[in-house]
Amino acid sequence: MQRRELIQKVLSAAAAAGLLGPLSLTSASAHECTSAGLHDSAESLRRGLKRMAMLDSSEQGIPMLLTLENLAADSTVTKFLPDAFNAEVVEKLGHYVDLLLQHKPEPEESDVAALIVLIAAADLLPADAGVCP
Amino acid sequence: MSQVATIEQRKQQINQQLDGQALIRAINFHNTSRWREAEFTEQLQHCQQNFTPVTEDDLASYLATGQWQKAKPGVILAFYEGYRSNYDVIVPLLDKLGLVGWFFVITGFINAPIEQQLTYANRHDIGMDLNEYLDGRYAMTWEELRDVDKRHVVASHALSHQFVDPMDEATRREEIIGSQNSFRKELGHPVRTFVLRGGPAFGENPAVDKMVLEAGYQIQFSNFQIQKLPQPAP
Repeated sequence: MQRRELIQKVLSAAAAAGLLGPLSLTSASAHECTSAGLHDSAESLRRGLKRMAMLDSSEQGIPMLLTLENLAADSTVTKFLPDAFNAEVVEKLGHYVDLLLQHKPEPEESDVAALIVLIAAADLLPADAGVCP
Repeated sequence: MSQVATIEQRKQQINQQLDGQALIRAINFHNTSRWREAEFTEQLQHCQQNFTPVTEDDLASYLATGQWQKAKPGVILAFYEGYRSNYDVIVPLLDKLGLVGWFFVITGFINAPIEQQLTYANRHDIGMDLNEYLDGRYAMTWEELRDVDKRHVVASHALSHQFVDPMDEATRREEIIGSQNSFRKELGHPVRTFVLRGGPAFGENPAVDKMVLEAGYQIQFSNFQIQKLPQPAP
């Protein structure tokens, strides 16, 4: 599978799981997001995933978060200290998994990956892209 | 009760995955058609305002020290395959905004004669807007890539965009090491960063890993990870 195919698969996972209905591509309104920039309901999350699934990975930029690993011998670092961003990602992902489980009790890895794309999009896409800031 | 256990297990797994891991933001692009230029401009302007570009040295330093040295968080803007549209549409935008792009190039695509590039793309699963270039050239030229190499990151997406696991050794060698040899010849130096089709990580296939190191790659991208690779003893 090609990278863009995988991304598209990931983005489509929620749709394939029956989580996504026919919704319009409108921006996330303030009432859909908590003050911490989280989708605050399963419905809001569903809309966010729907918007991400609409991105064409062969023609549009797809946000992603990548973990770093140093296998070289030049590092004195054995473990990175989680920073505020890591903590925010953990919080959002945990929250979104809770919401996802309301629709899909046994999420697959690709569902979680789709959530990571949504979290990455929150600050990598311009504000009107329809994700919680 | 079992679902509660599932939820807690899942959260715990996520926390474990992120514990002690540095994260870096990336945006993955492929073809960058002219008709989407306004959209790319908006997205890249947003990146310029809120993030800082990442070079290979920045990444290596971050991995070695565990500390991000710049005021704004970094973002890796990755462009896959080696499309001509990347050079025509994106490179001028990146240059104007002071951003750094990472161009993962399929060397067989670049090396394909112009009249064969569409066929090559079709046979190697390189997505294409068929009406984009009437002269038939859909890949960057080496001359363009040498220009990109002055200000951006040029990286290898291997030779032919094929899965390497089923390949015999000679074919796999050409795919991994042959690609690097093209960069050595055309750019005058090896490239440091590598990604395989399908995005496998280093460590998944020892035979592939051995060739990746033999080729001299230092950083490997995969679907959810960037790895700084062990360097063979001199």
